[in-house]
Amino acid sequence: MGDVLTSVVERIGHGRTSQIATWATITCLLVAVPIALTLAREPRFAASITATSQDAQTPSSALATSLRRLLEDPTVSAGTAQDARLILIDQTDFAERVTAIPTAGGVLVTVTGGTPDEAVRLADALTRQLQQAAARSGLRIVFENTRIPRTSRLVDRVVNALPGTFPRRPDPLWAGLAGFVVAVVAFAGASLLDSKRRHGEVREARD
Amino acid sequence: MKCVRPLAYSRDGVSLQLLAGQKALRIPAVAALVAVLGSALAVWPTLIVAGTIVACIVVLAARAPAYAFLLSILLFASEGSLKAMVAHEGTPFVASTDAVGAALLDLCLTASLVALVRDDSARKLRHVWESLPRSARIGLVLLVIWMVISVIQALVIGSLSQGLHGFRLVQAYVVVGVLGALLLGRLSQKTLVPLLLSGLLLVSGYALFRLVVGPSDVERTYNLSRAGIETYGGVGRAAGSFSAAAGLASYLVPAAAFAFVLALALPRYRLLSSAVFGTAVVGIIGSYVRTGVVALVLGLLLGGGLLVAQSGWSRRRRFALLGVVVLVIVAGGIGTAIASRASPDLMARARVFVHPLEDESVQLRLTTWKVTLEEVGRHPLGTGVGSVGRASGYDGDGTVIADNSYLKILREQGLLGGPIFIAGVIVLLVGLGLASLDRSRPVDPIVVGALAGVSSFLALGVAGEYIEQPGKVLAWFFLGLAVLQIERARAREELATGG
Repeated sequence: MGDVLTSVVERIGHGRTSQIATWATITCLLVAVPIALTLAREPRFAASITATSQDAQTPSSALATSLRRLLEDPTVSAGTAQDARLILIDQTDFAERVTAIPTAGGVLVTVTGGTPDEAVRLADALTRQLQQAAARSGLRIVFENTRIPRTSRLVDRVVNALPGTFPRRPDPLWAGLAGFVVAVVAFAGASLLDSKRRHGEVREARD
Repeated sequence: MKCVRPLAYSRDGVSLQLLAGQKALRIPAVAALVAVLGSALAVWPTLIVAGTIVACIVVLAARAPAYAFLLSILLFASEGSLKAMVAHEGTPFVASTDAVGAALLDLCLTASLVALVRDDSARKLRHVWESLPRSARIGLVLLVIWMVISVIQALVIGSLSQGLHGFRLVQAYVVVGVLGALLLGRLSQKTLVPLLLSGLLLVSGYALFRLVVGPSDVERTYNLSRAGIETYGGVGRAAGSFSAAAGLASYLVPAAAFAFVLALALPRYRLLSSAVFGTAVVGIIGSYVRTGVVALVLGLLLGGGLLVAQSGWSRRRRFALLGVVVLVIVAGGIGTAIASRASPDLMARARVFVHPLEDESVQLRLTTWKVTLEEVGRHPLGTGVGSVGRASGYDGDGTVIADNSYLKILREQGLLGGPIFIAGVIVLLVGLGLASLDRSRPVDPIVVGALAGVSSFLALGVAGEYIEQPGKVLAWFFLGLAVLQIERARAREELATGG
């Protein structure tokens, strides 16, 4: 272990200026590039549900109040999470993802997810739960899924083309920190390889 | 005159050109690599970090395999956090995110073990064999026989995929942990002990940190998504960097027992060992794994008992040691009682320490054990490796549980494999314990600590399939470490006597 640390220290303390500058540049790039690309991605994707009252005389504001009451029902949030195959930590987590805003035609309920698929699943599950909850409460409300999320940003479209399921946007700070860690670990690995190579050369020269 | 191949950095004309050519290629190659890595970090940061660390460990394995192996054992404790973050971010692979996380950790262990095996392993193993007392040798032979039976049964009885999964979950780690420890010959005690304790402190310290501030959203979501009870009456069970509370307990129980013995007997590492023990105990209590507390107490009693039984210590010192053991057990009990007041569910569960047979969970376990034994009677040759425990759920027919690691192996491997495994472990432990009590040489706290560690893990196995939990890596490592230390003691003796 002493040899390993020595080779790392030698790189830092006695390495040529160009080598140190190269590693510093690589580290900066590995921090900056992920942060920049992450910030260029959509943080959340939204899907919408339009709720309209079958009673034409019910104003949108009253409908919105009724809907918010339904959304506060723990049965609705728990049922939505189960249907959507999502783990919601608590009611606050659910409340952060769902908003109900009155519009001219009714109420727009918007749900957000980390990926388009998650937003759609949430919207579908929430529609079913709200229909059941409205029926239980005697409310005559029609729910219709309206807006489907799309990957509009360039980086998201590129990411969508990658193999595997669409990955959600990571925390930009974590992406940057991860880049730093990768640079440090790669530096340590390169030092190990270098010390092994030099060890081999010294042995060769001795032979 | 000897022809010397010019080095890349020499100053003659030919190699400068070579150097310039290499530099010309190197810059675009590095730039491309940085671009790819930077982009990948924006999509799968955890996967890239984990992959880089694994690559570094593989390189370290070629240079210093003993360090790589030790690091891999400690890195195994991050399995839960790693899998949680990889599950949250996704991967470009077809395999499940859990499988990807497990594969990365297994790669570290495998690479370092292979490097250790390549490094004069036959000679090291021969020395180990020659230094062991007869009873320990019998125990080792029984375990090797059990391993051979396991391989045959995994291939022949039951589903092949289930057999391979089951073998990987249990038997493979026995080989990796024990064999890897046996081959750590070059790693001196002065390096091994502080490195190991520092790593264990990081693991238990993180568990304590998460107990105080709560798990991250990603970890909590992952814990809740897995089968198992992760809350009691709204109070979350500590899981630290593990997938579940059971995983945390399986790792911290042997760690705590090991650290406790070292704190008692090695003044040089007393502070570090005490820190590990203290944080680990808090983690174990916070996991609300009741068997963990019992198993730890058994480990402390065994470790303390072996130390007290040593000659060379004054009666006063022995009484002081006994007093410390009793005090720690009482303090732990008080701590458990206080922690159980967090919710009515936990208070009800804590009554198991007073009225064990009235506890619903204990009654369920007894029923499961009875059913398991009936199955053993129906299938005396076993139902196949992997047919009980986590691997049994891979084929989609539901998970079969035995709620007991030994009954699990008995049911899987029948009346041949099961008893051989149990006998092998017992005989080996007894042999090593007796060797540690040899009054002709000074006490080796590392042997005692390792035995306390592995014994506490094995005690944990009575109440569940803990033999599949992450702590198995540490426990089997401790078993191998105890054997290695006995070999080192005998080697030192032979050197001193010139024999």
